[in-house]
Amino acid sequence: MNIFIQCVINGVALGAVYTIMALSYTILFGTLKIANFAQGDIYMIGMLLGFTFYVTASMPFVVALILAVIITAAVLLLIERAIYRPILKVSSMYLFIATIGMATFLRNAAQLVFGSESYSFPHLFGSDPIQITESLSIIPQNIVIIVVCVILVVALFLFMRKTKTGLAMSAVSMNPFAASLMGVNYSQITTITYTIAAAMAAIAGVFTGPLYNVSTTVGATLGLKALIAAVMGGFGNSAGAIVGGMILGLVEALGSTYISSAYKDAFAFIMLLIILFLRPQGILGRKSVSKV
Amino acid sequence: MSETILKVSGVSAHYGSINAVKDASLEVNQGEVVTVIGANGAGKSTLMKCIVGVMPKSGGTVEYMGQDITKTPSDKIVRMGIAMVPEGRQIFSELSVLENLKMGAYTRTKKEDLAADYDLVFGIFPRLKERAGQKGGSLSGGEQQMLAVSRALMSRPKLLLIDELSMGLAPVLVESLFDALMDINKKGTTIVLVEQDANMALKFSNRAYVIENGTVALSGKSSDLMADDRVRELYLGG
Repeated sequence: MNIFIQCVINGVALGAVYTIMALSYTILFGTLKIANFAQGDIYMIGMLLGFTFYVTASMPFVVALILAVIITAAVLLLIERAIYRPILKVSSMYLFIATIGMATFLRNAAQLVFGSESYSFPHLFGSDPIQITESLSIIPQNIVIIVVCVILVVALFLFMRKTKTGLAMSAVSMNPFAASLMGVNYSQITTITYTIAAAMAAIAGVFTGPLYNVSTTVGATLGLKALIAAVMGGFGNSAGAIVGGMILGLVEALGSTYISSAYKDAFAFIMLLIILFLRPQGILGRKSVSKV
Repeated sequence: MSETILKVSGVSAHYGSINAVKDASLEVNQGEVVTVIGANGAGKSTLMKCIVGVMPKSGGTVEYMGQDITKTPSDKIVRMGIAMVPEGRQIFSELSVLENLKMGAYTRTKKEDLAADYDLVFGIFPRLKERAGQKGGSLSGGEQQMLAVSRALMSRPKLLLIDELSMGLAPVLVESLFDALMDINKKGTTIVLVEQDANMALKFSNRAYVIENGTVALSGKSSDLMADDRVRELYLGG
């Protein structure tokens, strides 16, 4: 029983990471109908920048975090303006391919800057596990990640429901044409949406740094799994991203313990196939009905 | 004679290689109700989209209150006081009635009190007040049209363009919507109505333009056009 509870604790922490990243995909797809496959590598850039400022430059953590978020957002906005936007004018299919190419480009560009070795990011509150009971424990960094995830989810929810800009983003997601007739500037909404997506990925990157080896390849698998979480939950649906992220974290933690940790990465894909077979629109996704 | 609020001169627009609007010109004076009638696909909607800046023009100019808005982006045009009720209503289906209205007031940057505007639109359409918390997509077609008109009014437009008010609605309902528009017009909003239902549109407007194959084929006082043989034959069912 204790092993099970331990797995659930680990799974929730892992799920929190997937949730933040799944939300960063979802906000882009939900609002602008854009699937940015480079999102995992944006996360990697956030992590490496956080590492550079916090460890290499010995800045205070909060300063390092803020700088990492700002620069990561600037990078994604530059990519959007210089590459995604012109390509989108041609076709959204081309953009889809371009984002895949961008993922590889970012990984290799980061390798030029940061080298191909991996670094270790110090834990913020020490790496000693906190004993809950004799056989149950949690490492402080996992608590940090769960708290960060909750804060981001609440902040995003309040932003979308309570602010004028959030409302405009919902309006754009439902009907971009009508939104433009209301005087919504689509380009401005695009910039805000990409900024939020980049900021979320960078925050996830900086806070998960201590859990992984910091390297240029850290975003590839994680980005793909978070995308799976978002699609499982119902792509474009924020609540779905949370459900998908948590399910994926739990399945991975439980599967690694009870089945085999060798198949850790396979569980995500098996889950995706099962869920899409049973519910093609995702767990919380709506079937798209086209009205005449 | 009252002053011109909108002047469209020689506007053309293309969908790919299809020339949807050809050299169309029209003028609207302050306080008027002007209708644009024509068959399905004649280019009426495209012309409206050209005016509000959501459709690129391949030629011609648009002037609004003496200012050239030919190349002005749509968000600025809305700020300048032109609002459009689009064809097919285009309600934000997952937003509540109240949130739809809030979106209509999107350009109102000052922390103005919207209460007076809610009172105004709920006064015109009491049904919407009862439905204020409901999702836009759950409303009936007529209620959605009321919401679409109200939403456009929330930006406090000086010029209101309405594309196919009557489409898909019962005649009784259309009549009461037209009555509401007359009310809105009396309060000072200039209205341009695009309609396939020429009967109703001519009855309620001061002047009319007939669009055929993307260009203005005929124009004049609505009462005169109602008596015109060609208009009677083609648009009023003989």
